[in-house]
Amino acid sequence: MNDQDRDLIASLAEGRLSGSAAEDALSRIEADPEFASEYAAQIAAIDFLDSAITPIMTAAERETLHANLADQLGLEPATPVVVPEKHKTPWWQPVFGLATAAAVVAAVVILPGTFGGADSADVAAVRNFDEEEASTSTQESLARGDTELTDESDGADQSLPEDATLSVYKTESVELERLLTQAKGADSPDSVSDRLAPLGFTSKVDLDEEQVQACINDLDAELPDGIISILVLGADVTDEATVVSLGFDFGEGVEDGLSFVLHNCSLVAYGPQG
Amino acid sequence: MTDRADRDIELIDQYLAGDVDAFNELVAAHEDRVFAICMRMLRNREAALDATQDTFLTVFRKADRYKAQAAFSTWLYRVTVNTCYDHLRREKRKRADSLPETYDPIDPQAMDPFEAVEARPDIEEALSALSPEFRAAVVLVDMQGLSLEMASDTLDVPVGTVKSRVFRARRQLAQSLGNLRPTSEHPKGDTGEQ
Repeated sequence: MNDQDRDLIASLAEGRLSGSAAEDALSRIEADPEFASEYAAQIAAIDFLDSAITPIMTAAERETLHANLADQLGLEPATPVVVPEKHKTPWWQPVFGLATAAAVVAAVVILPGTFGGADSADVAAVRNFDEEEASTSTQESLARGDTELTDESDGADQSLPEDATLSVYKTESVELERLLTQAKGADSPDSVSDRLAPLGFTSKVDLDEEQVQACINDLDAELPDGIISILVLGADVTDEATVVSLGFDFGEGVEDGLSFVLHNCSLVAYGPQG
Repeated sequence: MTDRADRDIELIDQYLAGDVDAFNELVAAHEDRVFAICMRMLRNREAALDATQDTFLTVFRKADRYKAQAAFSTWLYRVTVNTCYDHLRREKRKRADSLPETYDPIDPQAMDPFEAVEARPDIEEALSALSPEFRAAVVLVDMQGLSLEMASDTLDVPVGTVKSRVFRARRQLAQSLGNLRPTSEHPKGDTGEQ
């Protein structure tokens, strides 16, 4: 096996080959055990490394780093981290004119009642609405009794409790993009919780579940095609507003999302694919 | 260059002109990636934090030498990797002087749940078995998503060398994984271009 063969295997494993080149390489794999073995090894390693969670600094570590750098470079200490001029307003400042009309073909909205514990499924609500219902509001679906609780221990209860609340992490000033990066691949409230744990959130906030649902309905036109489920990642609570961040699952866990202001349902940020 | 790269060049100029806010913005824009590389390279939180700090100190102290022909991030990651190499060399010397061969450098903080999530022992152990050069290549390309060209610039070696290191590192990782994962379950690569 020469360098060219190795390059071919790596290109195939990384998904950089297409069409006849990919087909030729695959034929070679089928015919040559050594080739196949090397390809399998590359795929295994790539998958393995893909599964790693990105390590991040805690807020305290970040603060210490900034202070130490300022001190050692002789700069003014305790200067707050400054974002680019165009972002000097709060990161969740409403975004206008970004609407991308898109109907939700088949969506399941998963709203975590609580994070991180075995009891989370007790209050996690899953709403299904089929293609025909896609154009109707979730509230209408709920009114028709479409709500389905995931509580396995009490499958008979098919209704939401009145005044249901969602207990979600306060995400402080962490931006949507970072939340999405961290929550990438999560497909349930528990896995969202697990993946966000390294961000070090310590407190939670109770959100009015109906209010969240109403905003999701209002934002229907902003939702991309192909969503299978929507997960609430958390909420940034300030004196001015509560900003809720959602993650979209297109079938392989959270990949994208958006944030909105809870009291008026205005969109404030799109995820990277938005 | 990208918007980020252009902005970085502006910020370096502003920093050299005495603008502290430019310094803060540059740090904020790159600190996560620098720290992630350091964590992967060093496997130890405290060492990674030190290396992150050392990296930025080096970069800002030598900011006047930065040439804008290359992206600031490429230069920054090069300093990051070299700083990590220095830490590894120092650590190796220290260990040779004072510790038995069975010394396990896994971050003790990784015992708490917060750390355990991010410092998965299988990944950390597997990475630690690689030589620093192989580890750097695979961390930059497969874990940080740098292109082969950018990794080549960062590591200051030809693209072919990066390819070779990444290929061999993956093979070594796959061997060290042993029975951890089946190796033929994934069809990645047969569906077309990225």
